[in-house]
Amino acid sequence: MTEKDNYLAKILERKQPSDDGGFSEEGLERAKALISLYPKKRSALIPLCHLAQGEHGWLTERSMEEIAELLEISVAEVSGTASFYDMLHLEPVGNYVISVCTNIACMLGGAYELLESIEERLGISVGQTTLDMQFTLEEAECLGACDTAPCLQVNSRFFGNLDAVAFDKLVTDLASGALAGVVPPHGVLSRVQRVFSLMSGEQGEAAASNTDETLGQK
Amino acid sequence: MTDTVKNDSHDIAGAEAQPDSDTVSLIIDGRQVTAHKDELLIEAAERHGIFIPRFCYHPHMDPVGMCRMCLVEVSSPRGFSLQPSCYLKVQENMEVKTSSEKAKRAQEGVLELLLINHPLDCPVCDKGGECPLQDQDMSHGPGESRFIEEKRHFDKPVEIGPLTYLDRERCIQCARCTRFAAEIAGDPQIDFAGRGDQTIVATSPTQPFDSYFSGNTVQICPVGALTSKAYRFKSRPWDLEQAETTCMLCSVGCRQAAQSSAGALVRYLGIDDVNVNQSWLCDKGRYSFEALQNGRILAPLARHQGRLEPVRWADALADVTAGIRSALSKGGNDQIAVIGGSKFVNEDAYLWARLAKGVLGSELVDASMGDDFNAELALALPRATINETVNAKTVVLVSADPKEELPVLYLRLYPQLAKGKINLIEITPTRTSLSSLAKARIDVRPGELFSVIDDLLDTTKDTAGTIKDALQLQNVREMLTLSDTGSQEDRGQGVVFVIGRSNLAESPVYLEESVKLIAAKMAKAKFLPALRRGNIFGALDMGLAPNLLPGRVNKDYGDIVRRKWGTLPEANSHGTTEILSRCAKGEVSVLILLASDPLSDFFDQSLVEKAFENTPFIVALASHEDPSAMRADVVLPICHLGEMNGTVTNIEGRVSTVNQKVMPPALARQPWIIASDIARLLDEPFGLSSLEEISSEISEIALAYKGVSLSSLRASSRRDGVVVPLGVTGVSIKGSKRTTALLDPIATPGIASAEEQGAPMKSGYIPESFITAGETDEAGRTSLKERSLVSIDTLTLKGKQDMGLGVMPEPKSDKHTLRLVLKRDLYDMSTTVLNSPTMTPLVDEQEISLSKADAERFSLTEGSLAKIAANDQQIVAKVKIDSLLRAGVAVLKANKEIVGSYDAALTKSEDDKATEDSGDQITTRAELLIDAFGLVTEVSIEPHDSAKESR
Repeated sequence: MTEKDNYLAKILERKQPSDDGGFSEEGLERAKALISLYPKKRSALIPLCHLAQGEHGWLTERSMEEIAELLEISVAEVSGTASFYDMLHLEPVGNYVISVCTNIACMLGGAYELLESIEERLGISVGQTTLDMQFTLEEAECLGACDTAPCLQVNSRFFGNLDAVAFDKLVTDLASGALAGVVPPHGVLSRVQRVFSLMSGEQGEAAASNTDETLGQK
Repeated sequence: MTDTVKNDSHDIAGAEAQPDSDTVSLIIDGRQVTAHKDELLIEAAERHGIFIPRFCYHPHMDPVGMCRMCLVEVSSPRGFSLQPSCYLKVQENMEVKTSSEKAKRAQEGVLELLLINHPLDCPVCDKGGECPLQDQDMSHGPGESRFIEEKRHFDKPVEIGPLTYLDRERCIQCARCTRFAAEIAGDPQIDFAGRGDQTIVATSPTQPFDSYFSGNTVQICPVGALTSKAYRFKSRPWDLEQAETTCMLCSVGCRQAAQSSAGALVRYLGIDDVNVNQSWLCDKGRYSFEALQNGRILAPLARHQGRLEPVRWADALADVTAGIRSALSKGGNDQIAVIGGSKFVNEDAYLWARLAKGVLGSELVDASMGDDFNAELALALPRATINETVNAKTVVLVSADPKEELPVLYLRLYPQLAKGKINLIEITPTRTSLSSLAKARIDVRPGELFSVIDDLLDTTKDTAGTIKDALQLQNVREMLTLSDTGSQEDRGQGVVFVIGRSNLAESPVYLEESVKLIAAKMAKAKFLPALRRGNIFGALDMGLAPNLLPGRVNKDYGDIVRRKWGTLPEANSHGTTEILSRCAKGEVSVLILLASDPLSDFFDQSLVEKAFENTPFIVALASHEDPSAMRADVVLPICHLGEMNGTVTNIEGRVSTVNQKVMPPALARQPWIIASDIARLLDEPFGLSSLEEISSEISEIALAYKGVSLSSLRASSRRDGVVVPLGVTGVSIKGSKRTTALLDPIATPGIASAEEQGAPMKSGYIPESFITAGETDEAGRTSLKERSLVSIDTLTLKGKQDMGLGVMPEPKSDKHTLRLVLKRDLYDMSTTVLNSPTMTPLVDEQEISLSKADAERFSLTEGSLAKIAANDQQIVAKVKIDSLLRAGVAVLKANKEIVGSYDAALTKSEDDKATEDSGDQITTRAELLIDAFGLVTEVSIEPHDSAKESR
């Protein structure tokens, strides 16, 4: 493993979440670092929502309260804003959130057929979560990967050119943990995790800005 | 082609308007009009009689351009285009078409869109009949919908707060409620959630909408989405009758419309009085109408063999006069004491003052119930108006939290503070609801106020003993204009001190002396005395206070009054504390309670208890069965707000009318009639037989009230009242661009609709010229200025020197005790709250706030029960750890009796029978701990453990 892979793996693992649904100690530190990036505190609202979602897999009521407290805004403003965005989940979701694109390119490429087979394979319909809390199925608008239509996202990771068979393998791999290094736990985003470095020996924002460049898009 | 012609006319108009740079001229619907530079187009049009439909626009909130209803055609370099007139400032040469074909089509389109998802359940909707959506659909809508699909559905209704329901299907997303909550009230507990057609107004899952001002969102909702629990399904707008009146629950005196149906009050709505409440009300005021129907005393009661029984009025009054006669025969003027009167209108207060001082010859008269600092001083200070306060350069809060005691004053201050328009300095023992917006905050431990103020004002001091942070000190002095090198006389220019008692457990002497010091050192500073009781300023102005006579004069200037009233008592006067202690010593034969309830409303419970025990004859004028009335020997039923007429005087000295809307229950009478009857029975009749006659006597002998009478206040141009004395404290509206009385039926829906039913309603700005012109002649005004006001010089400046100690008495500091702060909150166990079913559940339980360090020191944890003792009394309260509280201070709330949810905890720890047998009464009433004559109250505290007690 290269140093970069090591770094990525480290920031993309789910940390031990706190029991009360709020931020862990490390999360709280990250939250403060995120807030310090903005001239106005409330600008950090969405990054903080992602950070909290990364800790629990969804946005708990307690973490919304903590965010409100940190940003000196009301809880209604936090929950109101969070409810606007599909990527923020206000209810518990499975370990893997599968978002299937059904916009035009994917639709022509057989997205609805794929969706149907997924529903059949997982035994749930769109918007539901499997009983073992492994998979949540969502219908998504264009994911920007039209070249690989029909495509879907699993926890913000892209998978394209799928059909029923390919999806079956994907699900099997996800369930068996074969994709553990590729697909991070739901909600964990490198974008909010790399605010300051966790790599030993490196410190603070200098390291963070370096990794920003080296990490690139994905 | 036509454009060119019009542009030409623009240029000409522009040239004409040039001289005055503050105005611009524009053309609206072909009419040349002028407008203020920063005025919004929708406002300019309205001022010139052109109504543009609107939903989201509200005259007292910032524009958002949310609903698009006000689209009009506006000229631009690229021709006419549709623009929202509520979001557009007027510009020179602008040309506007508000009802062109294009503008009309746009407005119709917007309305059709808004109605697509509106349920049209008008027949069962509370707003139906006074609904801006209904009204404007009739006036500006297409009249027909092309939408045939299924409308969206939500659960109806959601209880978003303890007083408010939300029906999300009806919402048109105008953002009035969310903007009000965030911008005006500073309680952003509601916000938009969701997206697209699923956008809803929502609270967070954990925090209900329990703002003190939630009722305003119901009032300004332009559809029936928000409804109040108290009014829901009570009446239809066309069944309502209405009278314009002034709220008497606190001294802000909000103008409101009292609306009744079938002879009962069903709703109060705020009226847009730009000087006072700007159409807002607090929830306590808004929902207090319920108290009229509950717990009322219906007939005079007299005590026979220990029990209060209904009697005839004649018998009750005969009992009272007999009691008074026997007291007077004992000799000495101080046999009769009168407490209360702040719930009376001015006319009632005046006649009771005349009865007490002129007929009974007593100087034991006080309306302030001990929560003032010195009535004479309060009236003598150069008074700021509310508008002056919220437009001041610097506001210094040396009072209780305005949100708890004077809610609408807070509402006026908050938006100004949030926009950074005023500097706020707090000098209070605990944080207030405005602390987060304060530029500087000085934590004052009880007993240290005078030293802090002294250090602050003494600019020669570099390092202050009491104020630790030197940087902050410098900053504060700058904001107070003390660092200015200018002359001494200009000190305090633009500074307003809001002064009141922030702590009922501390002697008022600290505040009194501090205020004198400030007044002496800062010549130009103005004051807003934050006495909170309803019409307390009216009662003080009418002489229901120690040493004061009607018209804001003290006894030294009492010649005019003396001529009318005859001899006046010469003895020195005393406040409520002194009166009660005389009662407690058995020196008073008759105690008359004027709609006051000292048993639940005075800060030294033991003193009141003793006073009640040792006074042989107690007469109570009461509207409700409050604890004090139920202990009296004779109870005389009186009217409540809504059932009486008269005038009231608010915190800034504004006199406005109170108007009757419903009949008083059964045999209740207005208090002046009772005073008049008693005087007649004592063979000293006043010869006054109506409110109008009393009112004209007031304007005749009360100097400050010259030119102000009930009938003159009924003139439509004076509906919002006038600040007395006329011509001395002018009405100034700094920064207000409003110049004419406006009525926006969309801003205040219910009121306008009621007006259409025939009830007169108008409100707005009183031009200053009106007040000064022709009302008082020049000579009259000059003499008024000289003679009526008690001047600050007449009050000796005690300060440090007179104490002979070099400093104010400072209680000896004990590391192991805590100094108590007793403060009020809005929903206490007052008669109004307890008799209003929707508000009663809002009374929260007693709790003691402690700093983290102190809690640890006494091994107390959050939520545990603590035993608090002082002055041989003890109470129980739940512990709340307040990380922002300074150490050495404990905070309790006033007037909290019930243990409520403590019950479970207490019974659990008391299953031991021995505890019950020991007879220990567990109470949470903090007033038990306080000694009214003490300087500060020091409490000892330990964990509540009844097992240990029983040992």
